[in-house]
Amino acid sequence: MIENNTIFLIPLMPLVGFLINGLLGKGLRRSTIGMVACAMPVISFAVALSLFIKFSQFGLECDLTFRQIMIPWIGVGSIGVPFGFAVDHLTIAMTLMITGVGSLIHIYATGYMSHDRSPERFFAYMNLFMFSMLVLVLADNILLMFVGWEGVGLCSYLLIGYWYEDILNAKAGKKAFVTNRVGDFGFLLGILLIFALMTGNGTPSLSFAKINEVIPKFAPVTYEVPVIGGSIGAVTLICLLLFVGAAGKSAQIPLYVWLPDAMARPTPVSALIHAATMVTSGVYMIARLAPVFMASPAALSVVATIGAVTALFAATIAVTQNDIKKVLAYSTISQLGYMFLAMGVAAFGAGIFHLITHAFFKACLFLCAGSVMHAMAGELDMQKMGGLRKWMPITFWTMLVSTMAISGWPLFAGFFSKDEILWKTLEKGMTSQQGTLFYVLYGIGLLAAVFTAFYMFRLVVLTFLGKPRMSEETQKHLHESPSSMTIPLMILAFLAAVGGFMWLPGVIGHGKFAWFHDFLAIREPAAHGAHDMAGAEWTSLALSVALALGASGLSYLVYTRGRSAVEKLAKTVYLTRAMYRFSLNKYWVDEIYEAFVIKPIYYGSIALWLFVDVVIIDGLVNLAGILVKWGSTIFRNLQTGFIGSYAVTVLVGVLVVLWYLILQVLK
Amino acid sequence: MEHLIAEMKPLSPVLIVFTGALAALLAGVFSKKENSYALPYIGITTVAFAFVALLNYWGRGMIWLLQGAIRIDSFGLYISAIILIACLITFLASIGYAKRLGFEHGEYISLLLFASGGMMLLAMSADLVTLFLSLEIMSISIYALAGMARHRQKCNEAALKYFILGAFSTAFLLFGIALIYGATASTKIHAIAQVQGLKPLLVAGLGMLIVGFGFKVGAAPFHVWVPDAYEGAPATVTGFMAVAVKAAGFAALLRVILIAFPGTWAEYWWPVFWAVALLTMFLGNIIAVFQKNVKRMLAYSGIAHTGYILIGLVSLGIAGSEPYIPGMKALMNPIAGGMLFYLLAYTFMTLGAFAVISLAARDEDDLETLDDFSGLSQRKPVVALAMAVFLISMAGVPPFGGFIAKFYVFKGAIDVQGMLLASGVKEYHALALAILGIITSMFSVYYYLRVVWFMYFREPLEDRPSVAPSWGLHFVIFASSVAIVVLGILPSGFFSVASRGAEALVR
Amino acid sequence: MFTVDNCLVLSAVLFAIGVFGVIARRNLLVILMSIEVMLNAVNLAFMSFARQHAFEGGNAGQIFVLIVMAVAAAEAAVGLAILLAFFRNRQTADADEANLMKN
Repeated sequence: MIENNTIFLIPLMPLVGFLINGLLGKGLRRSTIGMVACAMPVISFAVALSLFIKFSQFGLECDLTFRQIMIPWIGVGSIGVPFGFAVDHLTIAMTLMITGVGSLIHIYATGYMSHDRSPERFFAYMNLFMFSMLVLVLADNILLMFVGWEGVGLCSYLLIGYWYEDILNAKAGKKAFVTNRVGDFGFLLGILLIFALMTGNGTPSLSFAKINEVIPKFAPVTYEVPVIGGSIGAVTLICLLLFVGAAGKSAQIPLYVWLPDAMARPTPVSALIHAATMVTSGVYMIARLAPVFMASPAALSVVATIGAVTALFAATIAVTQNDIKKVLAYSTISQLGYMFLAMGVAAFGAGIFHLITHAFFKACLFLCAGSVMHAMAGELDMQKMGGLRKWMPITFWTMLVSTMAISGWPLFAGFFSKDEILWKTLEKGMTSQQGTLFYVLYGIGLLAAVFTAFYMFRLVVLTFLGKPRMSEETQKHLHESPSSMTIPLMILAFLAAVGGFMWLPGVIGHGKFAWFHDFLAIREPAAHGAHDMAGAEWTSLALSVALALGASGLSYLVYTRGRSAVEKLAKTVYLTRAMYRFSLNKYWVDEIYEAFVIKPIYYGSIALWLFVDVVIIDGLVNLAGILVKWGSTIFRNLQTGFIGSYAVTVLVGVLVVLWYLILQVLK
Repeated sequence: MEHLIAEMKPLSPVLIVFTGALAALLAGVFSKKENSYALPYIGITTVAFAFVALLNYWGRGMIWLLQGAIRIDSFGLYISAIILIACLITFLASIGYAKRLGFEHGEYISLLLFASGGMMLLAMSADLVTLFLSLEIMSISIYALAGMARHRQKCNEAALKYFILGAFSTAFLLFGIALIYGATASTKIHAIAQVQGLKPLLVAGLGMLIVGFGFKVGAAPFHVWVPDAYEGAPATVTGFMAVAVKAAGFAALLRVILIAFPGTWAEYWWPVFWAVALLTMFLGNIIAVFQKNVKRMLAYSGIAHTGYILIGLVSLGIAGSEPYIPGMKALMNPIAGGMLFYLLAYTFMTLGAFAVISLAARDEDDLETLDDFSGLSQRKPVVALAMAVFLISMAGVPPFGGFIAKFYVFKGAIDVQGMLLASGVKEYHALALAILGIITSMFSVYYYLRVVWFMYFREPLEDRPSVAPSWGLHFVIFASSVAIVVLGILPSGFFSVASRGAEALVR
Repeated sequence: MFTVDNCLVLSAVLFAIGVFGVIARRNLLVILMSIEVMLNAVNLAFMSFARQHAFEGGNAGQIFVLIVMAVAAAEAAVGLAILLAFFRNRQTADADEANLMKN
């Protein structure tokens, strides 16, 4: 632990920006608003960079934590929770990503939102979001993390409903909020259980360092499960509850439904909140509590399975969507699935690596989509695009680069990170005792990668290549976006292209060119007998490359030449038609939820309202009200306003007190 | 002489306040009428100096002065700080207000300072003689302040009622002191505790003291003067009365009860306070429910708050009367700290609320009826927001200071109960009081939120021309609401200061 | 005759008379005088106790009496001023007329 007193500046700057734009924004000029909003994350980034330099001075492999306790915050009973920040390797990586990508997106937004009516509100929310996100990441204890966690949820809600005049946006905001409540409930229960165990153990603290030290020791403790029977480990229960929270925030099965709907908001928001930062906080939380999760293999298996299934499930939906942002939304869910798969196989470093590279290319993809929308006057349907390459070369090339990155083309960022996850899964299958599960997960992961390459190239082809399918009128207005938007695109595309070189696979770099791995190495469990498996790793690599290139090529061919054949396939052959309809309608999950979850709760609530609320609670409240009113009238009349009667009241009080005391003495 | 001056040095906060009072009086007499706007600044300066002098002695342990008549310790300093804050806020809020009501005189400033000095001395008294003297310095100044706007009939009446009942109760207090003196041959608070054995005279004296202090803090059934005096007095004076008199009254009550009647003596006094606290909470909250005048409603709510603070005293009594239960002693300091924290939170929310009330609704009267408040959010959004913060905090809703204060007090009672049960004592007085306190505070939500409802969901009435509030008033409203929010979000530091304050009474 | 106990009884009787006066009389001036009677009753009690404790050292009782006298004078001054203001506004000294505020 090293004390450092500059950490607080990182979250403080966006808060200052929020206050300036939120309180004074109405009176400021547009350019000033944008300037303030962009400057703050950039300053945060600079501070984070200076911290990072301090880390590298100590050497990459040094296990080091900078800590800053601002003030005592909550002191109840034996527990004292400070308002403090802690920065270790994991945190600084996240912080750099959030402030860096965040700054770029803010700059992009100044161009994107240049025609909006109230930019000060937009930028105030964006800065508030940055503040909450940084609090979440930098928090020294789980309670402060929860504050950030709820803060980002709030900002997400505010920004989804930013164009609140449209009822659909407001509804999407509500859906995101309610779904997240389910997750947060699990998270909160997890925190409470941790709190109970920590105080029970005589170490009343909620700091991550202490939790990671103490909670794994509870691994042998089990609880009886009432009703169903059987028992569950205390740590497993904690991990599962926390994972419910992570699944809500990071859009995993079964709580992913809010993310596609949430695409109604301005595109920079999608890029910042729903691709790069907020949705990854679930992954971050698990990585933060890695020792706790490691103590429960059962919980890890659940995480891995849900992650892999989500990766495939979302990818199959993305294949048939026509809304450009919906495709990217499902793609995000799918990529988050990969990260959870990494967490589940205890490859925490690989998961965070993918988180970072994903932030680069997915932010870039969303911003490109935004650039397209900007040119197309808000059009989202890819069926009405095509041939945009001619008008928007920069957008096209940056989008192509990030598409190759996400599809896992060799040497692009996504290739290294995704492959690392797949390889770790395979490795786990080869070394662990329940190998079958991980072989299956590896297979699912590969399949999802195939779908990923396919739908991403479909998106690029439909949007940028082929003949223009938009109206003449629209064509006239097509233009490349301003430089405030294209420069961030180019920077992000560059990062998406080369970001992977932070961590070359073991078989290629032989452990030399993997400083990001070294940087996060402390979180990784030591691999068993890694030398024997070079062959397997090469095979896995080759397989990924072949599948990625093949799927991309197939997609290119299908959507440039064979669209009619595919459409025929989707409409006639029974099996493919069924699959197509399943995918297009997103497996009817929303409808199923509506019928089996929302409707029962809704009607149940109405029944409860009519009976419990109206009859019992209102009845009791009204009764209490009548009693109070009655009592009030009586007692008010005792307050007669006459000095004499007041004096009598005092005298009666004196006599009663004296009478009681004297009786006590005489007893 | 030099020796005397050196000895009086630790008393400098009080002496500065008294000097300022004299200066304000002289300035009021010799200055021209058009310069009278400068008078509050004399007060503000005095308070600032006194505060600095006071901080100087914080954390220096206890200092005995004048042959043990005065003890300067953390408790006295903490209460003095609250009183100075209250005094400062009152001065700031009076800028403009005093002129509008026609009492922009030197006397007003001077009396406020005299009252504050008396209160500070009261909080530091270790001898019943000083205690009585400083109590009277405070009371007589407040009687005069309550009637400050002497052309208004309500104001006259408030002063009259307060004066007669106040003098009446003082006589009882004095009689109690006489009985205690008769029983112990001493007026030193610390010497009374040394008396062995039980004398009926002493117990009767204790009862009389309870009555006298109960009157000052507005505990039922000695609360009868509160609604009328608060309603009639000018709003700034009411705020000062509600906060400073209560803080000083509690200071004297706690010091006398806890130091002169400690340990098993508590078996005599805690049942009395139990009944008083219960009656106070119930009467205050229930009568407040149907008040149409917000100022009067706040008077009843002030009574109710006295009841909540008394819960802490009852918990201390129960804990003190069972000294053999292990761990019980350790509970006492946090409970007393909770009471002191409550006084601090109460200071800001009450003064803030009365500052809002002192905004004019019509030219001369205060902003007091519910109708005056309707639609305030449209006319003065910031003021309405601050008022909502004060009221919601009083109702005990997080994240405001009022919630934390109630939490500490109720938690103290429940902790004591838990400790009793753990050692096999099957009595439920502490728990019952806490539960009844929570129930009565639920009543209070109704009448607090009703004002908020009027401010936000009613259309403003036409015939309410508004006077522009002074900068001092704006500042007070802003600063108090910020303080309430800070107390609610970051209570730990303030609570540890309050616990330090309580250390002088219970360790 | 002049034993301490008798003086104390006299003091208690005087105090009770004062209390009765405050409660029962309506004229504000009489109420004020009744309060003075109560204070003087306490003074008598202090003097009696001071005599009883004469050999235990200290003269707190006597000092207290002096202080109470001074305080009572100040109190009476302020009280009369308040009463006067009331009388000017209402043209009456009847305590029951002070009834604008109630409930």
